[in-house]
Amino acid sequence: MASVIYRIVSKQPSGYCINSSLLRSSSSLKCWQRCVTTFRTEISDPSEHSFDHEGQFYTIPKKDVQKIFMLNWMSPHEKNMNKMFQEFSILIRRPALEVMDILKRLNYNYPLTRFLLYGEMNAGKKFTMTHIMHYCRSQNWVLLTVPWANEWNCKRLDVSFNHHKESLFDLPVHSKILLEDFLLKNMSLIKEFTTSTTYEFSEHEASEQGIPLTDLISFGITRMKFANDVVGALLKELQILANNDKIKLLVTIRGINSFWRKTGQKKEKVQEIHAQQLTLVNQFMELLQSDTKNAVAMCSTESWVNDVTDRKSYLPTELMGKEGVDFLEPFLPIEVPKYGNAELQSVMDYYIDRRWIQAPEAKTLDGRAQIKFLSGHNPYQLYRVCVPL
Amino acid sequence: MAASIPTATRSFIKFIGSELWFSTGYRTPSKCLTRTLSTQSVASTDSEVTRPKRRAEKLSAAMKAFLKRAKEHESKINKYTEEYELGRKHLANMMGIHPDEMTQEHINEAIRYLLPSGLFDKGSRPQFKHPKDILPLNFDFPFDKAGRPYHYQYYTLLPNYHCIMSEAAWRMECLREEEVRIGSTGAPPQEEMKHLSEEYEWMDLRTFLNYFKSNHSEVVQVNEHNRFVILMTKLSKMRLREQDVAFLKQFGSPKTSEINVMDTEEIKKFYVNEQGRKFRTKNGYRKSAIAQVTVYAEGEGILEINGKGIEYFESQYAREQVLFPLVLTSSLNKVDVHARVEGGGEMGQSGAIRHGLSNALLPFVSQQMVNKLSLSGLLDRDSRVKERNKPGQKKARKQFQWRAR
Repeated sequence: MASVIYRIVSKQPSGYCINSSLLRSSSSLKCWQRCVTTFRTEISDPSEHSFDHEGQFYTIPKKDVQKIFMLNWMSPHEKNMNKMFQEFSILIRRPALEVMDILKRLNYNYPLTRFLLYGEMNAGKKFTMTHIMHYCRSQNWVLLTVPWANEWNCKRLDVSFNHHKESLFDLPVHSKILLEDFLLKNMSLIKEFTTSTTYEFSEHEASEQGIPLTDLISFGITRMKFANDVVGALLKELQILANNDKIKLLVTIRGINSFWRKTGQKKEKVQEIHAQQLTLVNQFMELLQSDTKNAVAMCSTESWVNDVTDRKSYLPTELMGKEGVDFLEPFLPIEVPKYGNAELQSVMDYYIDRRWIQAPEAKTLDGRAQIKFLSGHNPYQLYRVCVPL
Repeated sequence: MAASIPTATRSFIKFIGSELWFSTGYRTPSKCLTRTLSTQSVASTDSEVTRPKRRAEKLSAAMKAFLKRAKEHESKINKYTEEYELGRKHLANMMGIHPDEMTQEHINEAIRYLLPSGLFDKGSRPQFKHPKDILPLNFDFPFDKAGRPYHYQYYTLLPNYHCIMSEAAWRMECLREEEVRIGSTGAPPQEEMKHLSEEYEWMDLRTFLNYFKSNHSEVVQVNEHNRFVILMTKLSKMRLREQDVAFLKQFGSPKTSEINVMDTEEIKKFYVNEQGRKFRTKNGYRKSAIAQVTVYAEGEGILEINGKGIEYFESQYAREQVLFPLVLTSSLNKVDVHARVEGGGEMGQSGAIRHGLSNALLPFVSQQMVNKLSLSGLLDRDSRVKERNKPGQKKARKQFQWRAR
């Protein structure tokens, strides 16, 4: 009954919600559990998701999970969840559906479209990104992911000087990881493509024209010294390919507001390095400002990037600063809100189904109301509240 | 012989004394010993003839002491009554009332005015009462002329207490026999009855001590009270007859579930908004945090703290503090809460909100719930504050490192 009253404003038909609410208000819990699991869908292909399915869970088939998500994208917390729940399922939410809707209708002859996801901490930006990535993968796009951009800003990394430009700094280890990740994800798609120009990495080493891309990447992996340059080369190649209508490119960067912060490092332990002085950052910024067709960039501003004291703000203007906003304009801002009441109910249904909530008082309506109160509609807080239950 | 007599008597005394020790606990009244002790010759045949005389002499000595005490007591009482009457007349004169028309209430009022006292214990404040209210009037002899005590348990030194206990025990034995009889007839067991101990609460320690002191001038100890409670609960759990119920009801009072703890008009006050919604604002305090909480009735469950939702508090414990009064009164989704908090830290602020919330919820909640809230302590201001640092110690409790030299 309660869910009918507190439904969030939405366009979709009310059939789903009334159905579930009637079931919930029926006398016995068992009857309800046996009847319908309205928090799930069977459809695992994201392209078929529509606004009808909002508020429901769908599972990603196992073969995709390992390749795409488990390696670099998911944090250990989420890997644990995967192990625990024995499956990988995501809640279908409005922002993801909106983005997918736009992607379906987009005219790809126009230059790069930039989405900017923003929202409060732990509101679910990462999972919307996974949803969109799954969709793009099913459409056979090439995925280029930067799982956590603030890694480049950490203290005490191996930093070496760039050969070509004196003022910039290389990050060999991180570039290597990027290349490996890219290779694993997009192996099947890049097999045929070859480089278009020669790239000179140093006086003696150079890659010639016409080598398959995979070779270029593996060269970067083996020779860490030149990994950063290989990344630059790769990005240029991808731009050329996209312009020629051969691939569709999806660039995901998590935590883009780290591009305009100081890193924690010091040049020769004296001078501070700003993120703008890293080659990787510059390369990605070039990519984002370029006019490639058939490409979409999905960025997110995270308040995790800031220090512990500074995490209250979550609006992009505050996090990125004027420079960032000027750089990224024009972009499509997409807000990832906290859970609405219907979503909360379905998430709790899911937890009960997966035996994550075990206390019998927690399964009653009163218990759920209390959990809702305590979590404050925040997805991660909801998870933490249900931990001891 | 004469020299050995003292030793013989001593061993005799010890023997008797030890017996007495076992029978009455750990006190051997000297009176009993004096009865058996005879420093003069014992072994002679004359003793049988002379003993009653001596006993009478000894008794009369005790009686003499008793009589003396009784006379003192009487004179004391007379003196006190005279003083009381005098003082009463003076008071009446001062107050301008005729002494015959002056009641105890007048006296109390006057004393409260003349000798104001801020002591918490009302019994230790200055009082002006007739001595019969304070001291026992009759100094009764608990034994007759021959010295035989009236009460059959006089030698236990707490005759009334032991009388009650033995009566209860005797009743228990009777009831047990009856049950055995009933059981042997083969009747099916009776349905469960409501035991008296569930409805009644036995006398707590204070009333117990008072009961014996005032009525019988006996000083009872704590373990006696414990034994009393155990025995009464045991007895009350058996199948009782009417007489047993009447006997037990003397020592108990019905449980306090029907007593209203707070029933003033102030609690029920609330204001009405411009939009016609009832609301009530109350302040809550905890450890230098002040919270102003407004509760709107007929609401939806909106919570607002300083402009933010419950994310204002980051820790789960603080959030649960705010949740608790709402859950207890089961008004989670029926009430709107708006709060403004200042001062203190996270926990202090959450405690302050809790205090204000529970005080503000009172008019919208039933009387039973009000009792529950006050009994649970949600309405009291938590008076725990940080302890001050002391000189000679590092912090409030931490000491400096101990050195041998």
